[in-house]
Amino acid sequence: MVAALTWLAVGLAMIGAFCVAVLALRRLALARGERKRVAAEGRLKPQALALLDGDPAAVGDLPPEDMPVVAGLLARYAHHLSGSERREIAIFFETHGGVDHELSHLRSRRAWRRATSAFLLGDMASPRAVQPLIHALDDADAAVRAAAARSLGRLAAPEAVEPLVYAHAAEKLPRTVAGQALLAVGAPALPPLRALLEAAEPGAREFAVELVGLLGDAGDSPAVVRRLADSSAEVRAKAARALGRLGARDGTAALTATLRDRIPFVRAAAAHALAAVGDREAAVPLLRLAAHDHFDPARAAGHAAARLDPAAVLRAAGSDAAGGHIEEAADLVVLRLP
Amino acid sequence: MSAAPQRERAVVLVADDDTDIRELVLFRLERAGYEVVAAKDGEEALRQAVELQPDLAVLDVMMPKLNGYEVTQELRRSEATSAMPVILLTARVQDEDITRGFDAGADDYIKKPFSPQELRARVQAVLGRR
Amino acid sequence: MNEVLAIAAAVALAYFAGLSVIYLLFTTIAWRGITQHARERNYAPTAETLASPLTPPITIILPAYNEEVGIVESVYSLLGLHYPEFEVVVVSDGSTDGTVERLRTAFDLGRVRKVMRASIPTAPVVATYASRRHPELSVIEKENGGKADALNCGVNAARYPYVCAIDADAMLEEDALIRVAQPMLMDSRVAAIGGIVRIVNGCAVQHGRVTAVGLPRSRLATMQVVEYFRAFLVGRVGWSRLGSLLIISGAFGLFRRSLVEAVGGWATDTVGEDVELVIRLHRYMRERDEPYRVDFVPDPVCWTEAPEDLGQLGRQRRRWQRGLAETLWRHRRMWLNPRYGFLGVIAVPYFLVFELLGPLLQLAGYPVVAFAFATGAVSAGFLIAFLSMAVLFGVVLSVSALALEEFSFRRHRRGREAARLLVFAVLENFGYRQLNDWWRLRGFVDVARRKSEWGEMKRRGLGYSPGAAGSPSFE
Repeated sequence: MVAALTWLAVGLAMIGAFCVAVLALRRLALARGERKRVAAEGRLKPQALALLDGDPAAVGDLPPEDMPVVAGLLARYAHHLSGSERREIAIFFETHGGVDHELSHLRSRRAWRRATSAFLLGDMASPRAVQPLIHALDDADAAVRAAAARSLGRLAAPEAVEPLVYAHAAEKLPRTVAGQALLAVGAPALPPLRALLEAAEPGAREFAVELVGLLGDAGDSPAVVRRLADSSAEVRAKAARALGRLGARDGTAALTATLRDRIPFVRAAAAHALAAVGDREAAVPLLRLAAHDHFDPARAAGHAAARLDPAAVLRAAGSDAAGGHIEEAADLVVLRLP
Repeated sequence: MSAAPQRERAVVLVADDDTDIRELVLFRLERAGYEVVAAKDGEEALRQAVELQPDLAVLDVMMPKLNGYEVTQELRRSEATSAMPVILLTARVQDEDITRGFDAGADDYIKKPFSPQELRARVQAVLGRR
Repeated sequence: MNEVLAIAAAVALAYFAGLSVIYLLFTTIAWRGITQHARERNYAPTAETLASPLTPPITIILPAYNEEVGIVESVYSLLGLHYPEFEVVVVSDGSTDGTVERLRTAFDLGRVRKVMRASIPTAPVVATYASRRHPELSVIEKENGGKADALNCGVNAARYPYVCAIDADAMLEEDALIRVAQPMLMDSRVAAIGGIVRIVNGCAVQHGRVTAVGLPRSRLATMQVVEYFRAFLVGRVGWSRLGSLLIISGAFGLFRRSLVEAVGGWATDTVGEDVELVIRLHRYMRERDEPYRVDFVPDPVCWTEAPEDLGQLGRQRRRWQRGLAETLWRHRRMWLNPRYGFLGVIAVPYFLVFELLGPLLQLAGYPVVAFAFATGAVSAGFLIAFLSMAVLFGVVLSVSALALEEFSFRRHRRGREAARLLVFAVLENFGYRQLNDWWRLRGFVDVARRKSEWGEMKRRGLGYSPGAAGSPSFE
């Protein structure tokens, strides 16, 4: 037994020495590789930049060992680019097989490879990638799904809107990832989103209404107001928030009615929204909420009233029945006075 | 009347902590005939702006040390640079962010991801107005 | 007699051997975790998260006791963090110096009344302030109650669904919040997230931010750098991959507010409130069979100062060990209890045996084996095996932790620094580790004897002393 342990100890010592050797060697190798890469990039940058400028011939007769470096450069630049430069990058990756390469890797057995491909396809700006990426929204691995969502956003594909919303509603995509992808699609996402306001699933309605609030305009107000009467509290709360973002005055009456909703967080959302919409008339019902309601709606209402009608808040604070939230709101009003 | 000294080529200051973005903008604007000065963070940007008195500043919003809004505010505060046109480069374009940019004193903003061609066109437009 | 000695010596050897195997296992687990994380960074949507209006907002709670020297700079650096929406709540825990005054002048504070939730009982609030210039900043002045109490007060005042507890002397990187928030953005079931705490001694600091990374001049501090690599990179990443992360540094942690309220906030009657809260969160979720995760982000997020004085370091380690012991005892229901799954059956007993009792066994091991050898109870071969185990495994462990850092983050870019770290990784096993064991043993004994310094500790604000990063596991 002792002998075995001694051998184990020797083994450990060798592992230690091995680790050190690997460490040192790797550091050297990495440093050298890095230097080479930086040098190659420096050399090829002018050509890559020229390509972005609409001059694809610039990389036409480069030797094959330079192509990966150029591809790497362009993929990196692609993160930041839109417009004509992005189109040039799309053409490059299409003609030099980058897109095909990544599309094939979308079916790799390793999750991280699939995720990397999904991510890169967004930068390669090829419309051919849209359907495979939508398919990837069903991948077993969360990182792959997230990368696919991001890329669909980068590709601004309206046909991805419904799958993205449903993926989030099914908890296959986190809210930030799905939401950011939809925001990246932008205005073209509105028609499918408006349709989703009437979806059967509450999760889909709730997400759709939040995004309509972020992307839409005053014309969407009526449709969002209808959601204030939704059967799901989450949908009602998000609808209130959306009305606040849209800022249209015609939502005021509906929001004021929502101040009497059964559920506290819906009332709180309505209070926040009224502050954003800016209609002074809402101050009176808000002050009522601030005086009597649960913590979160009362606080939201107090702050909202302070923004809408500071004078009314100061008056209310003077009375005996004011309560803490109104006093807090009044102090905030005084604080903001010049 | 511009307080900047008369020069052959217009000078544009570009500030962004991301090297790639600086390169992209530099390349495009230099090709268009401008002289470009680059800064890596807000502090450097402010210093360059004061020293060199560029004709226009393109500032990233999310920069270390001083962000784009703060640099703009500082530029507006000093008489020498108060008239300098500022274009903000930003990924955040919700209403609050846009308002904040204009409140700080910016003249225009460009959303990230962006097109350097478009940036050049805006720069041309702003400088052409003078 | 010889029999007994031989057995005792064999136990000591078996202990070290067992520990080595476990550590190697952990290093493998951590290795996989970190390479995965490094790869994930290639496709992490950080830029998008920063820009998104859908990113959940965070309340940063900064408990402060007599921090007039650095508080203004700390708050400025917090306000400059890159995150779409957040607020900063500074809680002055009965400071007797100019902390609040400095804040008032620097941030143009005005006194306001503020309604606070009554979720967690705390010492009474004396005054609340809001800033005219920075609407996202508020300051609470309360009666002294200790760091845990101040944090709870911050939770009561918090507006947002997530709270981030930090230390006044912790320096955060600009992207710290966005990086630590990634797991929470990817999965809404995440209950708490910790990040890497690094040692700032030797780094260049400007305006509360680290501008250049360097190694400390002090030997003691450099030892701690190596130790922290091992504890954080290997220890915490490893445990988090196994779903049993018990320790989230008090210097920087992100928590879901509703859960903190549900479990009653941080415990004010223990010195290890950071460990205690995390364990309580684990228990709460497991007792309710609710799916959850406690995550760890291997990205460097936070820098703290390491004690360069032996006395200070000793006191710190003693305190950490006390905290761990108290917490484990308080939650003894979990010991070997299958109700708590892997956590109860493997993780908690591991901490009991190797972290709590470990120092005793380790320190006792040396004299026992020496004596056994001297009296001929064990052979020279045995002695060699023992020494190799006791010393070598430590070297291997530290070296592999350094290797991990190299592979993934490479913050220490200069070859000279890497070489220096390597040397210290070896030297650590000849004296520093043993000293650590001694301090930890004393901490354990303190608890066993029920030494009560709590009152005095609170008055002197000891909960706030530097480098309160929670005991690094893997001693």
